[in-house]
Amino acid sequence: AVRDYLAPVLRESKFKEHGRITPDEFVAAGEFLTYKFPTWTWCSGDESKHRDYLPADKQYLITRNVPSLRRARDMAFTDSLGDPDNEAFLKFVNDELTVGGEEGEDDWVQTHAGNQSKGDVPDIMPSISPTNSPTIQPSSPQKSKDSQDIENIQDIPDMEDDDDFGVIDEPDDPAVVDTGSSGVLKVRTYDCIITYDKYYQTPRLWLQGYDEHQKPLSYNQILEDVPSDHANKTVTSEPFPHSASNTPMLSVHPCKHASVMKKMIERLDTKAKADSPNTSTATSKKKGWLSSVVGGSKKQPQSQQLQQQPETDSEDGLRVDQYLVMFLKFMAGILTVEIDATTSF
Amino acid sequence: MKETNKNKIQQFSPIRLQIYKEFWHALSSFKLNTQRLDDAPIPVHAGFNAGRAIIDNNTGDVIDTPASLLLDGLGGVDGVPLSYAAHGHVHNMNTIEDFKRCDKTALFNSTLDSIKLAKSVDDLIRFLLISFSDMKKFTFHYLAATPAVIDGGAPWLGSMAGCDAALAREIQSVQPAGQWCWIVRRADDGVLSGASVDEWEVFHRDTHSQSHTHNHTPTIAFIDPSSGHAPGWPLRNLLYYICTRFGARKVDVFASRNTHSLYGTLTTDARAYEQVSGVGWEKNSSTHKISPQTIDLSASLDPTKLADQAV
Repeated sequence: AVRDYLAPVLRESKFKEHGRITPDEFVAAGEFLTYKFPTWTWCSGDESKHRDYLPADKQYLITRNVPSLRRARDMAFTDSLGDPDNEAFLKFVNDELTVGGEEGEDDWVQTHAGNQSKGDVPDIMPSISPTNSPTIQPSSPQKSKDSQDIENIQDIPDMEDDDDFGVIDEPDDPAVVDTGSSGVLKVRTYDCIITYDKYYQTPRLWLQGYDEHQKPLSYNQILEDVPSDHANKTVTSEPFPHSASNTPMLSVHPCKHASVMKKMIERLDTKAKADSPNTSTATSKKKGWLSSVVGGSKKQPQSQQLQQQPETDSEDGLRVDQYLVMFLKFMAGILTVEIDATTSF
Repeated sequence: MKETNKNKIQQFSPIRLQIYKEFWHALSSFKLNTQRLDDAPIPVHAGFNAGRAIIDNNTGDVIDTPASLLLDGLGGVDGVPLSYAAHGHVHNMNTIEDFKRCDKTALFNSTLDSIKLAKSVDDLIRFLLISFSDMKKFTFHYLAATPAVIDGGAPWLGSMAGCDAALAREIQSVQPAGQWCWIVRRADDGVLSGASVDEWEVFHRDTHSQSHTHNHTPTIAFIDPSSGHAPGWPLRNLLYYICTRFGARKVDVFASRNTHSLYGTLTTDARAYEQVSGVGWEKNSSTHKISPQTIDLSASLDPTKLADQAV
C-alpha cells in the first residue's frame, strides 16, 4: 500500500507504448464499458478509501451475479492449444514460471515460491508437476482444505435442534413454486470488480464468489474456478482497496497486465494497419483475432461492438476507451467465470 | 369457483434475500460502534433487477437463475445497476436467546400489515431480517422473510406463457422511469402508453371515455426478478393491491425480464382477499425447512485468520 501511495499518478498516455493507462483513460474506458454493457456500473466505495485521481463517484467498476456454471477442473482448456494466436497469453505464463523461486520485488513471486519448473509437459502449455508444488495442486489438497472448512461450519451449533427456537407456521400455499422442482439450477455466482491499480497503471480484476445458496465462497472454493496454472500465483488474495475493513478478496495480480495488453494492442494495430485499405475486412479480421485470443470458446459480443465502431480510426486499431473490453477478454482466459455472460443483456 | 376447472391456480416463484458480505461487515461495525445494546429495528433497502436466464456457452442450455433481493450494506444499494428498491427492517438481537425466543410471527405480521396498508406500489415489496451476530466467532445467524399477501380461498387463476418479443419490447418501452410496475393501455389508434399503477383510476377513466369499452381488461406490467416459467414474487402483492384498491378481478399481466418475459391473463374470485394470510419465510437452503441459516465470515473478519492469509 505504501508503494501504491508513493507511486506517481500516470499523467501521460502510455497506452500504445506500454499497455498502461492513465486514471483518465481508465474512466473513459469504464464509461464505454458501462454504456455498452449496463450490467457494469460505477461504484464510489468507502469514502475514506477514495483515490483522488479518480472521480469520487467513479472509483471502481462492478458487475454482480455473474454465473459460473462449472469448475475449472471440469473445463477442457485444450481447445486452443493449436492456435498460434494464443502464444502471447501462454508466453506470459511462461515468463512468470521461469522467474521461479527468485524473490523479486513483486508480491506474486512469493506466492508461487513452491514451484520450480515447467515440468515435462511440452513448452506450449506449462504446467506444474504435482510433486513440486503441493500448495497449488488442484484436486486433493484443495479438497482436504475444503473439508476442513466444512468441519468448521459444523462446529456451529445447529439451531434447528434447539427446542426453544419455536416453530414458525406458514399457511399452505398452493401458489408457491416449489424451488426444488422448478428447474431453477443453482449456480455459483461472482461479483467482478475492476479497480485502477496506480502502481501498475493498469486495471485490476477482483472476485467475490457466492455458492449455490448465495453464501460467500471461501478462498479455496473460489480457486476451483481458477485454472491451476494461475491459482495462488497470478490469482492471489489481498485486501480490497476500496473497503473500509480491508476485506480480503481474490484478485488477478496486475504485474503482467501491461505487457499482455501491449501485445494484444500491437496485434490489433498490426492487423488494422495491414488491412487498412479495406476497412470492412479490417473489422472482420479484428473479430477473428479477438475470438482466437480467448480460445474461441466463448460468445463474442464485444467484438461486435468493435465492428460497430466508426471506421475513422481503423489506422490506429484499438481506441483507449475499448481498453477494458479487451481487458475482460484477457481475464476471461484466466477464469472460468463467464464474464461474457454479462453481455447477454 | 367454477373457473378452477378451466384455469389452473397461478403459481409464483419465491424470492430470496441475497445478503452480501459487505452487509454483514456493515452490520457488525454498526452494532459495535453505534447501536451497541440497542436492538431497535434498523431500516434497510435492498434492490432487485429484472430476471435473466443465462445460456450455457458449452451446451447451449438455457439456465434459470434464482430471483433475489440484493442486500449489500446498511446505507442502501451500491453497485447494483438498474435496480428497484425493496424496503425492510433488520432486527439484530443482542443474544442468541433473544434470537431464538423473539416473536417471529409478530414481526412477520407487522411487515405483512405494512404491505396490506400500502399507500403506493413502492411499499409493496418488503422484507424482514432477524439476525444474531456472534462477534466472537464472526458468524451470523439469520431468518429472512419476504411476505406476500394471499387469500387461500380465492387464489389467482390463469396461466402465463412466453411473450412475443415485439410486444415485450413495446410494453417495456412505455415503462415510467424508476417504476417497478406500471399499467399499460392501447389507444384506439394502436399506440401503447404506460403510467404508474397509482394513477390507475385516472388512467382507466380516460380509457373508458375514449374507447367506450367498459369491460376492457386492464394490463399491468412489472419488473420480474425471476427467470423460470412462473412469474415472480412481487406480482402477488401487486395483484393484492390492485384487487383491493381498484377492484380489479381480471388483469392481463406482463412479467418484464431481460430474457424470456411472460404474458397472460389472471382472474380471481369476486370474494377475493376475504381470508387474508401471509407467506414468505425463507427456507433454510440445506434443510428446506423454515429454520435459521448461519453464515461464517471468520475468513474475512477474524484478525487471526486474516493474518494467516496476508502475504
